[in-house]
Amino acid sequence: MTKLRVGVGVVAIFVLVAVFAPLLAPYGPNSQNLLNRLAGPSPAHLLGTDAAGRDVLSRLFYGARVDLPVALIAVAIPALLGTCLGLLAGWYGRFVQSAVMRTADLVLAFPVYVLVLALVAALGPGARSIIIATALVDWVIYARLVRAEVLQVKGRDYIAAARAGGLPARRILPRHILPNVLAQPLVYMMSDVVILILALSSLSFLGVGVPPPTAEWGVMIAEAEPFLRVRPWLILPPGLTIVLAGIGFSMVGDGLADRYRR
Amino acid sequence: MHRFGFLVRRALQIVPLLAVVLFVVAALVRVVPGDPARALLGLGATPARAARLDQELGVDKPLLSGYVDYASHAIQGNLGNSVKAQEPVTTLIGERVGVTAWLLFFALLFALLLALPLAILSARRRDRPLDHGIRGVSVLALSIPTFWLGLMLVSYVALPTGWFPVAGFGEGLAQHLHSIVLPALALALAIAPIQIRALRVALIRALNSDFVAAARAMGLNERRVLLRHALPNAMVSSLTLLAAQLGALLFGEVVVESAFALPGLGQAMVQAVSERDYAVVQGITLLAALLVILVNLAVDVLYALLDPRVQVR
Amino acid sequence: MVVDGVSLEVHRGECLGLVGESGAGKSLTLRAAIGLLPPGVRAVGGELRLSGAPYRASRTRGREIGMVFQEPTAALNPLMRVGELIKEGLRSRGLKGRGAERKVIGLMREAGITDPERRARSWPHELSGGQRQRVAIAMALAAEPSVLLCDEPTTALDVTVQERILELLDRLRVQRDLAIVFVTHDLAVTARVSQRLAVMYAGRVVESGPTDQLLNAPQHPYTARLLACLPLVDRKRQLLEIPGAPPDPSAYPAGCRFHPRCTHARSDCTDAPYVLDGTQPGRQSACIHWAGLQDQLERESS
Repeated sequence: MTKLRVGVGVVAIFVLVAVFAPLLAPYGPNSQNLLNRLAGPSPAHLLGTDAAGRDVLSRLFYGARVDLPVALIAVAIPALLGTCLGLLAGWYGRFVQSAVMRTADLVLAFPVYVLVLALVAALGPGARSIIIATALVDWVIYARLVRAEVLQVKGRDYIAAARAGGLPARRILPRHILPNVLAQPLVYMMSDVVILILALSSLSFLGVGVPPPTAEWGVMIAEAEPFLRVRPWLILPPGLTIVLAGIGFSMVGDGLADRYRR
Repeated sequence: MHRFGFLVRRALQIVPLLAVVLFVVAALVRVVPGDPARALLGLGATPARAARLDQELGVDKPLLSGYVDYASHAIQGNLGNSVKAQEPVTTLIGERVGVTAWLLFFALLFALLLALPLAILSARRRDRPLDHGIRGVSVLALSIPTFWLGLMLVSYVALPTGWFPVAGFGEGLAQHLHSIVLPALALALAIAPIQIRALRVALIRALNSDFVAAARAMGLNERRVLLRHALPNAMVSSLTLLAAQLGALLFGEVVVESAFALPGLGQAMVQAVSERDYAVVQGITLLAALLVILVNLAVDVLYALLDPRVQVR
Repeated sequence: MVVDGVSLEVHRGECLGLVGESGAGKSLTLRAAIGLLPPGVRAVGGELRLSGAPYRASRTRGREIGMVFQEPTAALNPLMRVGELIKEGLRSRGLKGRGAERKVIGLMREAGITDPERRARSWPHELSGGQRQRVAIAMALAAEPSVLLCDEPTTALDVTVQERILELLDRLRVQRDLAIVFVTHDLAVTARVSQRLAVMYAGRVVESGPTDQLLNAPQHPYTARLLACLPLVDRKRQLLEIPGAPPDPSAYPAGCRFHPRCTHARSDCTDAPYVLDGTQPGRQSACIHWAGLQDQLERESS
């Protein structure tokens, strides 16, 4: 229980920072001061400044406005799509099931994020491409999870009773099946958000994600890379921020899993 | 021979899969908004060059015949030409595949050397402080971006100590080995947590099973019970994990190669993506998909060889 | 405390049946004797003696004591051939190589496995349930134990196969002068193999004595009820079920733990201390009203 609470707390802080970044950040994300480059922490710049003299703390705050929404949207679309397809596949056996599951097998024949990378190449770099590419690939996991759950729930007595009572599928599916199969995809969504934050920052680091000079955590690490020798601490704040966000969502996921297991 | 028949049937299953994979890879160029040749050539696009490139990428033809062309060329070992490097994609892959294979091999080796003892410790001290510690660190490690971990290793290990090269692959075996250590470590740390988690669960299940109780009842010491009875069963049941992890492993490969400037396929892929060198993107994607298919096949075969119960289907 | 105050004694060449409903603590008692308690369960006290000398369970496993499990399928490592599995049992006696192989064949033959040379190369999943249990018995015998613990070894088997395994255990007991502890919930099975019986209820032994005496004239109401549940051919009476369920280990009733379900219970049963008293030579009962029980039972059945 404490796990869930701490996790929700961490995530809430990130969300608040993202929403109120303009109020919380002492400087603008891109306000440069070329006379004060690569400075260490000081009262004016709590986490120092980067190579363009921008305030690191402010950029971290504004970064939350990029990484969190992109990761959440990129997870929400395939989660929704996959849950619906999994529901249909689990409920209507035969044709629908084999169509959905064969497609899923095919997608799984690719290494997921290499395919995302290839799609980003085709669609052009940027957050939009990453969201589209993830949606095309990631629904598979949700579809499989939900289908397996539906098959299990379908066999239970009260569902059989509802079906025997002549209740149509459009009533049974959302009312009786959906609430019972949501736990698994919900728990997975949390680790998926972690994966997406990592993937987004990785792609940005590789130069095919969010383009600089946008304040994004992966971009910040990429911008710090040339100064590893002279300012090794510069990669710490954005990296640790990503780790902290990841731990927050992981704890929410673990906490939810513990709660549903009981 | 049941087993032989099973293997043949399983191997034949990859043929249709391969056909569809080729289709998807060939169709990749089709989702490029606008004209791929112009996107690639940018301002240097003269109508003649663009037309030639369209022809090479097969986008001047209908989708299906473009696919047939790409597939038949691919089967003959022709994956098209890299526009930027001015050489066949197969040549480019050939030059770089070695580095990638090195990194994959050592990353898997390191991950296993890390995951195996930690999973055993965790499972045997279940719910004790050590187990909680190992599990906590695993969750933490899952949230660490691999490229950042790589840079951390560079700036806090390689640079201060001077023990490891910071970038590149060097010349000759000794330098190769030397320069692969940190990248492989970074990649291993990215995949080990999942391995620890899965192995731990499988080991706990095996240690609580009746056959382990029976082995203990026969008076075997804990060491033998673990190594001869519990561990083999746990490892066989977590074999499929290896295939499932391949996606994460290959993406990690791409990232780590870039972070350490290793001239492998991952670096080539990133470069091709940002330069829109579509033939290279296609070729490497195809190769990666092929690897996934083959590893899945190998895992199934291995399963059949290691677990005597798998024969019938 | 799931099981407490249980004291069992078994002699060479003798089979002791340990009977009770599931959840009575039979298997836990057995596993404590060989030091194989499941995770989360600890032995907090008690003493184990072998030929009069105290022993540590973990030291004696596979030398003096062997064990046969309920599910032969689960008890055989699926990744090892039958011959290798039995050979594992020989290791604790330091037997390896050629000699060990010959010994394996001998053990398999003794366990009644036909064509042992060929069977030794089989995988466990290729055998029938009965054959698997024979392999498990051969494994337990590999260490030449003097005590054999059997945890419902026939429950998972077909009735005809059950009988064969019981015959085998009986033969081994005589030939090897084995002391067998046979745990079962099935009185009919235990009547078939054991010379003495101990009946367990809610983590305690409530009655013990020679099998025939105990079955003919039970001295504890619980034993009587168990007997009444037996579908014997010559019995015209309707089958009885014991009303209620066995108590949960976290909330054993005070006094005699059977009293809430006992049709003979009186007011003093609720605070009766647990003492397993001698009633006749070789017989013991924990019921404080055992003396009057026989008359009551006869009155009921007439």
